[in-house]
Amino acid sequence: MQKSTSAAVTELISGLGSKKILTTAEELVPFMKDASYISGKMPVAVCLPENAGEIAKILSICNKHRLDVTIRSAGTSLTGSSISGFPGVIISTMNLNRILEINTSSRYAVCEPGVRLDKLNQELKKYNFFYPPDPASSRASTVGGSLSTNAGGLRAVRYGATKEWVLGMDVVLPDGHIIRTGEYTLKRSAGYDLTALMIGSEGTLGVVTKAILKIEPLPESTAKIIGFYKDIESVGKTMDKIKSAGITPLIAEFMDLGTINSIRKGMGLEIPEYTKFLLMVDVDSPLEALNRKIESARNIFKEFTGDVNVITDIKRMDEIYAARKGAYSALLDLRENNNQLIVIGDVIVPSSELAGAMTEIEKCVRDDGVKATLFGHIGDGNIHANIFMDNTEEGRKNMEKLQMDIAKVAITHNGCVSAEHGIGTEKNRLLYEEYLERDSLYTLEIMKSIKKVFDPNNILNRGKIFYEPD
Amino acid sequence: MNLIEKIENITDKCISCGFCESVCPTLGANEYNSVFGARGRVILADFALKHPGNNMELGDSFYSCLDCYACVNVCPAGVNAGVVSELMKEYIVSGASGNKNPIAELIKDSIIKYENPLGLKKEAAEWAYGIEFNKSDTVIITGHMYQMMPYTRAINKVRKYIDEAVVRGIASAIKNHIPLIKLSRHFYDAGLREKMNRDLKNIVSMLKSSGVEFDYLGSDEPYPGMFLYDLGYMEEFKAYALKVYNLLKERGIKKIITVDPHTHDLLMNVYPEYIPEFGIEVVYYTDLLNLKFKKFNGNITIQEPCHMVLHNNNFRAVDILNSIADVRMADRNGKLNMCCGGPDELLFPESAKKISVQRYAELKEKSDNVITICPLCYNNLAYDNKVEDFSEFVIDMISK
Ligand SMILES: Cc1cc2nc3c(=O)[nH]c(=O)nc-3n(C[C@H](O)[C@H](O)[C@H](O)COP(=O)(O)OP(=O)(O)OC[C@H]3O[C@@H](n4cnc5c(N)ncnc54)[C@H](O)[C@@H]3O)c2cc1C
Ligand code: SF4
Ligand code: SF4
Repeated sequence: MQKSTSAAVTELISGLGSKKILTTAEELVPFMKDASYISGKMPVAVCLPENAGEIAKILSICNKHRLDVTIRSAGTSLTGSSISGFPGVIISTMNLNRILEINTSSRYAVCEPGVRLDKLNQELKKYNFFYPPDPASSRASTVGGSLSTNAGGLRAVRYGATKEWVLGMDVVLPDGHIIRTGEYTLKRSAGYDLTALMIGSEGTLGVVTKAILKIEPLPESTAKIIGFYKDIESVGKTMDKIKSAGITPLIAEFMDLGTINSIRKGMGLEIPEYTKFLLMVDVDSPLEALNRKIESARNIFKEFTGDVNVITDIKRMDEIYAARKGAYSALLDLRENNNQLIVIGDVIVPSSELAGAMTEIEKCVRDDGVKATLFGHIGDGNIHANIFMDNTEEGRKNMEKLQMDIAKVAITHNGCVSAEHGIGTEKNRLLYEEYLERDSLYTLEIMKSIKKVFDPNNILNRGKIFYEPD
Repeated sequence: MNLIEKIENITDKCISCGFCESVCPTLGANEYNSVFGARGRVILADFALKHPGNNMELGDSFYSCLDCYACVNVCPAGVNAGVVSELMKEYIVSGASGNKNPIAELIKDSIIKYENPLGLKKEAAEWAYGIEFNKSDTVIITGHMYQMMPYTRAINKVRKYIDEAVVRGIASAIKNHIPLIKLSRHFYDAGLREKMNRDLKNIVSMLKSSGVEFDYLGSDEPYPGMFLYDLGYMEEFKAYALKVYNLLKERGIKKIITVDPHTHDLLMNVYPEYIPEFGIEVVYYTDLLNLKFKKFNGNITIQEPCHMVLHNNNFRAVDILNSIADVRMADRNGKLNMCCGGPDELLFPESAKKISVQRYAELKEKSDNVITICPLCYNNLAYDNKVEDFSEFVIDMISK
């Protein structure tokens, strides 16, 4: 350990007490992993603060000693954003985990960053309310992490991603300042929107210590409509027509046969033999009008496929929702050996481009000769390619090539290389490619300048988001 | 497969998604120090095996695991961090890495020498003085669980005031003079002892009223060796379990009635794994009850035993309670059940306490009347007199 590093660690221990600063190897090892396939460096210390004041203290010490800092909540990141490529300090915000207030009339909830999303929704359900962003990791992932990655989920087609649901937050900056962005109000026109800036910033600007989140009443009644298809074009056409008919689904998901097979048991549906794709659409309405809504949607489905299932039983709907949410997990059973990893791609195109982009992506998968299955949020055009990667140098290269090929398809269809998982260290090359392709690398330069204002010494999540070509 | 291969075969499947951390009770109880959580245990085990010769202190991470199996029930890859912890304890005990826990060592020696973790085999039979049992090839095996609770509670009361390092020092000292462990017979919570003995008597009485005929081995009943297994002393456990089995065989035992979930799981699932010829039927006492019950005027909530619901053992206790009362389960129930913290009581009392306080609050949110179905759960959750053991609650509900 360098002299200045050990001085910083000593200061951290004297400032917060040894119980909150972990320094032994066995305590540090678990923080070298998140849910990505990437491994981080062993940190020199992990801090377990309990409040914003302690976080300010930690950041001031690290800033003074120019020590790298990685912010981490539940560590479910798929892009290596909650581990560090440098032997620095990790700040876990998991001990800030209280729901501070639920206000149903003004429609907000105030939370600390370590609150897990399912826990928040479990609490809100008692009031018949919910917080819509629902990444498939919601059992574990937190308010802090989902804000910082602008997480999406199955319900994004109706409710949008996390950025639509955050009114304001408290943030600790690297120099120890604690700032407030935004307020408790639903509307606000008051200068630069720093709340929006913080969302998706992946822990590169500051530590979120409190968030004011918008909440919604739970939909009154819902139904699930599922159709089976031979080709992706018909899936796309069904979706286009549903949206054009003025129906905004709660959830609209598609999956390919590989994905269907992995969750076949969990869904418990009769699946016709010809099926290559499945489309699942949830609609909602006041109870008395639900049947009319179901009929309009079913009729549209019927124009493109003969086999349509309507499910209104809440328990069955929950089972199918859980099965779809577990699709990535279910694919783990299809690994050829324990060393094979599943790397999950996350591109997005405008939903009208989806069918075309899908056909090209399927071709990329075939041409690159890598095993992959596809599913995604058809309502918003988000396609996840689940790439089975052999954990070897060659396997990694093949995976990276396929990721780049798919990214290029998304870029040509006016899309983006990451819809909801963020950039981390995994996709910074792809993000660079996107701006290069758009002839707008200067956008990245502006982002870097903004980072400099918040974090002049570049101590926060160094190496994330920005790719530095040789 | 050798031990290391067995562990790697599990840890290799882990994708570090962290889902298991959301249900692992020991993580929150240790301020999110990941090494005390399910994912941290899997990552640490993997790292330790891939970097042998490192000087890491592995013990606390794996010894603090409650063996509740909440983790595997949410793991998308089917990884059981509880089993990883069990195997890693075996790895530590084998001397491969880390330091053995002095308290664990002491308990091991006491079991081997006295057939009881605290040297209290004789005391464990006192509850049954005066009860007539049948001559039968069916026996009730108490596993000494109900009987030991009053002692662990009293010992922990003292430990609260002593530094943990001193406790470990004392444990090392007693280990060198093992008969001293018997002094523990003087440390017990008298009220709890009376209650636990009453529970056992109630169980016997209900079984008898259900027409079940069975015997009891009295002070010959050996402790079944659970701690040896839980603390990773597998060689010792194997030899010990064989000794227990031979005793049961000599006595011509064909069927065992268990009264606590830990002993039940051990005899039902672990014994046959280590003793292939173990052909003795094992049945949980609640499944033999054949009684008519009155309706309870009010609601209850239930602390389900991890060794039943999360370890996939079926039993009828919850059905019986449902037939008697309006049951309001805690948010975390069934396959998401939360452990009472009990298994950490001896080695990590602070962690056990935090977990039990949290679980108690979750249960109380649903109903004031909390029913436990395991003596360990009772001991850890009985923060007021509205917490009752299944036997205590149900015996009062029998229609006369
Ligand atoms: C099985 C699985 C399924 C998933 N499904 C989805 C999905 O459907 N949709 C989706 O969007 N994502 C999904 N993800 C990705 C991941 O779960 C999300 O990105 C999640 O929002 C991360 O939350 P976290 O609490 O784990 O954050 P972490 O992984 O701990 O951190 C993520 C990022 O946020 C930063 N950060 C964390 N806390 C703070 C804080 N308090 N202040 C500032 N920065 C902070 C970190 O530095 C890091 O850059 C999935 C992951 C897995 C493993
Ligand atoms: S839930 Fe399973 S796969 Fe995920 S981190 Fe835990 S053990 Fe690993
Ligand atoms: S068995 Fe229980 S305590 Fe042990 S790792 Fe799993 S969830 Fe945690």
